[in-house]
Amino acid sequence: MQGKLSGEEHKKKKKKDLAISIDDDSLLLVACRIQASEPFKLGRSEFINGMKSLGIDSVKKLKAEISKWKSALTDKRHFKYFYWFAFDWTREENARVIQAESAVESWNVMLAPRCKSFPLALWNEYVTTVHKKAISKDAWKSLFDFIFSIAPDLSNYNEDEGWPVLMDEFVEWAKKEKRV
Amino acid sequence: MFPNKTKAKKGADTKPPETFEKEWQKMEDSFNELLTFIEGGMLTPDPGHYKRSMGAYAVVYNICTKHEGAKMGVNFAAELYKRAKSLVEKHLEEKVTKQVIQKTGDALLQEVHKEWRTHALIVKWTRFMFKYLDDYYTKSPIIDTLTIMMLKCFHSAVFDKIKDNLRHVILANIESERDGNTINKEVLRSAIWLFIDMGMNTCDVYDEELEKVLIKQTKQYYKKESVKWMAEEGGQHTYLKRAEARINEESRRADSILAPTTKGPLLKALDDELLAPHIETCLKCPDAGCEALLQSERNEGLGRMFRLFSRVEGGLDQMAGIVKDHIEKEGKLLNSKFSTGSAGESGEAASTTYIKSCLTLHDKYTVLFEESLSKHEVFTKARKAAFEVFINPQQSDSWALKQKSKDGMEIVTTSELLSTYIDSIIKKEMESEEQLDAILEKSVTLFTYIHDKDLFQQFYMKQMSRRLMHNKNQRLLDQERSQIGKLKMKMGSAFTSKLEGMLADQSHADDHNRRFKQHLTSNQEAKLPIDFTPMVLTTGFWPAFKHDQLVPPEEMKICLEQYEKYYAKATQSRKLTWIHSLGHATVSKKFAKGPRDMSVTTYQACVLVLFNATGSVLVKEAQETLSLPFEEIKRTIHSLAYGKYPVIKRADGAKVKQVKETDQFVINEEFHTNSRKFKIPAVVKQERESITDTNQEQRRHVIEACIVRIMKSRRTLSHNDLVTETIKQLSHLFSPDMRIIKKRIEDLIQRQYLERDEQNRNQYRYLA
Repeated sequence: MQGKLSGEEHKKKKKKDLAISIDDDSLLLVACRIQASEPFKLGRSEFINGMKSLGIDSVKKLKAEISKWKSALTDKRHFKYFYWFAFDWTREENARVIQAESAVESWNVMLAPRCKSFPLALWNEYVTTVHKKAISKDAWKSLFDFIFSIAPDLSNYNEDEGWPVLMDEFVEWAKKEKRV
Repeated sequence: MFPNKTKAKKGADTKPPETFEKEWQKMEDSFNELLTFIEGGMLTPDPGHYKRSMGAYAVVYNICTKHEGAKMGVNFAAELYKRAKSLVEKHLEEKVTKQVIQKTGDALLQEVHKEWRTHALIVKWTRFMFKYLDDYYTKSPIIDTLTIMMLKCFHSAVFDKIKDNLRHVILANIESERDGNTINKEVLRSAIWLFIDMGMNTCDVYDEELEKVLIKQTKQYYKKESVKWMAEEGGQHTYLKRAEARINEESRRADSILAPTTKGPLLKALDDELLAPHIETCLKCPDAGCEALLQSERNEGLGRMFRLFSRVEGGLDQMAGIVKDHIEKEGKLLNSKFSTGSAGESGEAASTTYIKSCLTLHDKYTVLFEESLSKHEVFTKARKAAFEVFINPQQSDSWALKQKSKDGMEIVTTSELLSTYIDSIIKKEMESEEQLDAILEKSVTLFTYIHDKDLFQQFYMKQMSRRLMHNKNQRLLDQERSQIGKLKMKMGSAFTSKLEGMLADQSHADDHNRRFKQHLTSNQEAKLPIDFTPMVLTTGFWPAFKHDQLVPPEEMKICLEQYEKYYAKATQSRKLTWIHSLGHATVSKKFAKGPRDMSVTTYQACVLVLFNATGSVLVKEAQETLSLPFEEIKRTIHSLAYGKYPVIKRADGAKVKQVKETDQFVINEEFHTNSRKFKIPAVVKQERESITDTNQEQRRHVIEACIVRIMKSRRTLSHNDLVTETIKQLSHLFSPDMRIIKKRIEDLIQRQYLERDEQNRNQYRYLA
């Protein structure tokens, strides 16, 4: 993930202050836990208040919490909320949608390692070459359940189950093009 | 005489006194006289007989009322009863049984008929003689009345012994008559009713001994018959006729000789054997089946099929299915005729031909239903289903309606065609109002089959707006009102509120104009340079019109300004915007060959007026002066130069039909036409696409409003329930596409009207 300038600069300062090595994933985790409101930004007061409310008052504790959170991510439920939060973090400032390419990038980083059976590559192909339009929050969120509940050959997909239209169109395209 | 004076023993050893025996002899004598009398063949008694019977009655009365028996311990009534019974029994056994047992076949029937009749008389008169016993003695529940007692005598003495034979003969007779022979009905009936009477006020004997067997035999008989008929050459064609004939025959026979309760089960047996197993064969038979009858419009045959199959459960459903398929086929044929542009009546618009043929098709079946199918609702439903199929094709269906356009084949909807048809009907000068009304009424019936009613509404609004602006005669207004009324009845006032608004504007137009003229004279303004009649349209009611920037000629400008002044005074906070694309004018010109008055659109008029200033007009200049888009100028000049009435012509005289920016046009001084006044038609833009698009957009709002409304009241709902409910609520207006509803839901989620439940992604929640 790439950070925006102000956030990065601030973080660098923070990093220097705290002398911790903090990688991107952890940064996102922290932001998630604090419920940071703006993408790629972690305001100073936001950070401080967040740390306060989480009861973290030392670098050591922060490190410990971070590793706790990281291990919690193995639980699908926690990961789902983490993934959902990632939408707000990944979108452009003031935008309510994510451009297709950015979305695909994020998915490759976040989802691909977790879900080996689902043809994520096919999905990405569809989104970037056929759909091409931006991804809404609802579609982003629904994708999580989609890749974990739908069979790799899409055989158990049911249009009447309230999946977003994007999924309907993907399945239709995949079947028509005989890609499954 | 008796040993003790206390309670006397009743019993067989107690003998009645001599006085009793003497009286009894009188009874026995009377009885024998009765027998002789009857056997003599009489049917109605002579007065002597009556006297004798009265005498017998008196004897019984006296014996019973003297109470002597009680003193003696003898129950005289019981004794009398017992002896009466023996009289009858003896008579039967000695005379009747012997006779009857010997007979067989038809002779048995005759004998039974005779003896039974005789016995009836015996019962009647004997009962009269011993009537006093019936008044008191037999009232006891354990003692049969005289009639019953005597019937029971007959039952055991005669009936039981012959009933099997009798049954056999009865059935043989019936079968014989079925085979076409004549039989003695009276005698047969008598025998059958014997079975009934032997039941003594119940039908038990009859049911068990006769009816059951009769029904069984009937079933076997007709099972065989039906197989025989089917196997015959051409049997399938005549099968139903024969079946009906048989059913009628059995019905008549049952009425005349059987117990009334047998008719039902008997006819059911026929239904079960003749009809039920063969329904499908009869329906599907290639030359005489339902489809074939429909094809050749043999209503009588269809009527018979209906009568017979309505007797069998589920029989009509199959028939209705075939009717539906047939109508659907005919309808789809109409669709392809339209799409391939096969000629309708000359000069008639394709839409008119199509709608007319749909209405004719509909009427054809109305006649059939009324005449032959008793207007049974299963058929009206079938017709409705069929119409709904071919009237509402999907774009991808092979029977979709198409029309040739410059880009190839374009999809056309029935919504548009029907609206266009109504438009043409209203504009045509009809002979009578009733005629017009009848046609419009039928068109509304067709309307109810259309799924996309909202699209119809759009076309109708557009077309009606044009009608109202061009023609202001009262009769037309009345017809418009009547048609709107019909639509209102089917769809409710929400559907027609805008149309009514348009009509209201129209009817107020004259009023406004009068006031405007008054305003002019009273304000002593200069008279208007031209005859000017504006019309005010309330924005919400009328379809959206494009605004233009037309710069009108001076004469027009003055009128417009005057009206704006008047209107500002007459109303408050209203803004007037001129829609010149809707206006029309009359322009006069003295041509070389005579003066002419031309009915033209405002745009056409403005272009023509340009020629007043300069003899030759450059297209580009015209565009700039009038401030209209090039396409509009091009179309207008095209209509004036290359149409039926070319009042202007190319300056360069080239024989081409184009309009370029650099072209020059001049007045065609040599122009001539016979009529003094004529209309120069303007090219009307193809609106189908824009109307369809407007409708699609409107639908988006309607669907969203519906979803929000549903979610607001239900708070949370599953995906399926929400979609089902939405479709249901909108079905009277149009049938929404599932995907479109989904898209709207997603859009509403995006705009935070709804959200998905976090645990159950299939569930939506309303966000206040």
